[in-house]
Amino acid sequence: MEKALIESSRNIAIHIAILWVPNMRILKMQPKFLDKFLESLEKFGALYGPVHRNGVMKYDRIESVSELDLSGHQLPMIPVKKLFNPKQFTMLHFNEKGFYPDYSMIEKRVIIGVHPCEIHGVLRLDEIFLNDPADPYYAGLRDNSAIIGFSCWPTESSLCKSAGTDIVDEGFDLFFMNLNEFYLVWVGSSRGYDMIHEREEFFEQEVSHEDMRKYIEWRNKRNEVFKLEIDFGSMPDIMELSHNSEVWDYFAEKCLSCGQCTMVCPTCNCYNVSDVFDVTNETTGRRERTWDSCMFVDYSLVAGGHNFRESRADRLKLWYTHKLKTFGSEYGRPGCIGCGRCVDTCPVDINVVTVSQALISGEVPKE
Amino acid sequence: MNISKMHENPYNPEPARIVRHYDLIEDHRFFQIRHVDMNRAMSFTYNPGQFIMLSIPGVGEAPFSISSTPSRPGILELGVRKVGTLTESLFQKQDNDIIYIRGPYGNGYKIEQMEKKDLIITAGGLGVIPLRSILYYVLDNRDKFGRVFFLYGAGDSNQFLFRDEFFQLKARNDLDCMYTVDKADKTWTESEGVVTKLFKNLPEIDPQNTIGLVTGPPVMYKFVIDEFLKLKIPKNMIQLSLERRMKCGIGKCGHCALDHLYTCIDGPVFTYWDTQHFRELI
Amino acid sequence: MTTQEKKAAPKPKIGVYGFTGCAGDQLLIIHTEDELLNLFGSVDMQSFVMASSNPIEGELDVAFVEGSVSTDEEEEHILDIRKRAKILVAMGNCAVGGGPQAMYTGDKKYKERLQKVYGDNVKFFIEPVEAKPLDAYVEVDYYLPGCPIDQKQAFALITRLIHGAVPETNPHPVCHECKLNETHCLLLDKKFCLGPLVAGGCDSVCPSHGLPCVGCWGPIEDGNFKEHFKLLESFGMSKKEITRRIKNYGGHKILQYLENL
Repeated sequence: MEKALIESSRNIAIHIAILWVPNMRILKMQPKFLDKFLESLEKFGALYGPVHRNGVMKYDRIESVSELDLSGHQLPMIPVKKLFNPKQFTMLHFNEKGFYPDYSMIEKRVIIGVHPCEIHGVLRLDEIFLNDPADPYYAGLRDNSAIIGFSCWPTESSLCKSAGTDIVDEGFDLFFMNLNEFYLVWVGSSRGYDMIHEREEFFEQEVSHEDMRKYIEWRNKRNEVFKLEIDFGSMPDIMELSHNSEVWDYFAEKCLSCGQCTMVCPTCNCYNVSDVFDVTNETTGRRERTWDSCMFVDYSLVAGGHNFRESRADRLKLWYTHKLKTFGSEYGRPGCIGCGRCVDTCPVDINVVTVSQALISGEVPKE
Repeated sequence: MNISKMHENPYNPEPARIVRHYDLIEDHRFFQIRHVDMNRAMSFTYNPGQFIMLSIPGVGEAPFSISSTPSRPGILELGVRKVGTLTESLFQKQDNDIIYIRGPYGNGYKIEQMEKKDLIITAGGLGVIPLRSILYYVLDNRDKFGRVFFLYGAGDSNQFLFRDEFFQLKARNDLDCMYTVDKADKTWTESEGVVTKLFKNLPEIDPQNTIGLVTGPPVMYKFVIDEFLKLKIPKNMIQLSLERRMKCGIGKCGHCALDHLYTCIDGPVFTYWDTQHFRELI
Repeated sequence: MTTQEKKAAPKPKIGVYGFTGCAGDQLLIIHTEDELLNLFGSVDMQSFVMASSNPIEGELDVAFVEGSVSTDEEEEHILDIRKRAKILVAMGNCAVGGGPQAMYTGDKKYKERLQKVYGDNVKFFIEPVEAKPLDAYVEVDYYLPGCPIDQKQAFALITRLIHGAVPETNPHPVCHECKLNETHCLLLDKKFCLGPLVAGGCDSVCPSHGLPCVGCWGPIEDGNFKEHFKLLESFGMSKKEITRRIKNYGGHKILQYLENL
């Protein structure tokens, strides 16, 4: 048994080597060096990461690495998208000469403790915001932010295994795999390499087969923890076939249209724009942008009063089309990255699990 | 992101001047506008069916169909109904006042598909604004297209847009204009009834060689499309221009999403085939 | 119009009035120290008794009126202001919906309640009437809800009005701002909160301090009242208790939403 495990881990290790080595290096780090190393990253930008503030976990600027919760057992309430597509900011100012952009929110940042699903979420948002013409605010924040990924442990609501987002092989500068005794550290970019290079003394260059075996064991163990699953592969077709399903009416009756699902979803990108005058002068002011939600009644309302999605059912359908059927340029590739936030957040239990189950079975959940 | 790239901020609108404006009908105004930068004004080009985002600082920004044709460069024409916050302020503007625009956006009408074909251009109410662009484009490139039928319906004679202009077109012998109002009064000399009634006046058409274009209020599409289908025009040869709420025009803000498409970058012109495939379109 | 002509254009004439209420909304404007001088510089403040004496009562471009109409005198006054003002803004929960003094609206027991509080044979200086919002008497152009109103929302509306533009409305629930502020949802702890039924604009100030939304911005049209009542009932609250609490600030505006529950 032991031998077989080593054998299989060897195969997987070779597989990993083939898959990753061309673009990526894997190093090893002892836990005692972690804090020191993370502190050293300050020279690459202001440090951000998951912290607890007023009983809520959120990504925030940190004063000290000791504030960080890198346990990987919890996700911040609002995804890391807020650091690239800020919740609310001034896009442009205007005066009598015209408009001019405000890039003051762009700063150099190092974002520590980003889970794999979150990194997948950012990669999905890239398809929207970096698609030509790129959104200059998102692009500016993205280019100036280093992402230090951290491995995590599934929560009750995690669906990342189903979504194929439990591992990540791009979209980070460094990725720390916490195997308790030590970290395996993936280097994913030249910026990541620079970070390592500064502090070579913290890293061991040689990763042994034994280390890799521990990694495989960790993954196998983790794979058994997931409580929920969704057959994402069949959802696009099921969504297509369920366009007129009564299931939508059931959920529409329940939905509070509070919009929380969209705010906490890592792949929701919608925003609204509004202008604000200065008090003193009608020629000066600013153009602001704020996250919006397709759950709100005015989302598809055009001037003149026609509302293309007046009914809650139509609003829900759009959201679940993007999450379970297709999102972005590639048809059939859903936007859900399986973080489970909608499962934890919706006060009336409308989420990717209950909706997909109802669509598959054609039966609504029992009250 | 490097600095030079940041200066190309796609949200940053350019100043344009209102050159001329007049009222089409009550609460509907026609605007001719031109980029303040003359080089920009003369080099600015677009496809019929595209739209611009128009800003009034402090009030906001919204999409507007371009009603002029790129075959007559230098001036952009818009037909605007006073219905909201932004248009309320736009109607306070006078000639020579500055507004701000960016664009053009969207894909416009599929002109390649239309070349050498007969065209049935069908407009209802305000839907005539984007269709006026393709209509004049076709008339300015008349030899590239087959027969042209222009069908336009409005509520009553007081709601009929571009009345003088369109009645002058009736004198042309290379274009067949058919006009109707739902409710005729004494001044009205054309047909009475909904726009679909005009289809019975069409001569025999070859459906494989005909393109149907339609834009109008949301309720109208279904009925006009039924007429096109009765004529056996293939679904992918029916082009519709759609209106949606938009905040960016470049596929970022999400509001105009239809399935996985965005009206702003994948439309606003879609074929009826698209609309069937992506069920939300109409 | 040329720029010079624009500069010469007269400043908009403004009046700020208070009826029955706590005057908290007028106070909020006065307390907006960053903008107060700018505001007084940009408008021709004709009447704002809380801020300056010697009011001039003439034609107005915009009138901001706080408080509910609760006396005969106030009824006359609002009719007069409406006649003089091109634009009338109802400012604050009392002016918008009637305020807490209108929480029993619709029970048809006003006389009884008056007697219970003031006793028999009381002579009033001014004849009281049942508290009603401004739009029970006159047409209101814009509403600025809240108890008190929010600085940011108030000045966004004020600046649009004094610069000749149409204000935007906010049809989104409190939950929107709650999530923008990364606040924990009380409903997930099975605690009372009216957030999903109530218009935002307050910057989710109560939930951000761990307190439930009590609805002072008034109901949103899109609120799913039936389902939210069901949810709150599942937490162990009675329908009567939920109704009582939603009426606290719901006044006249809430009644239509409670009809078919």
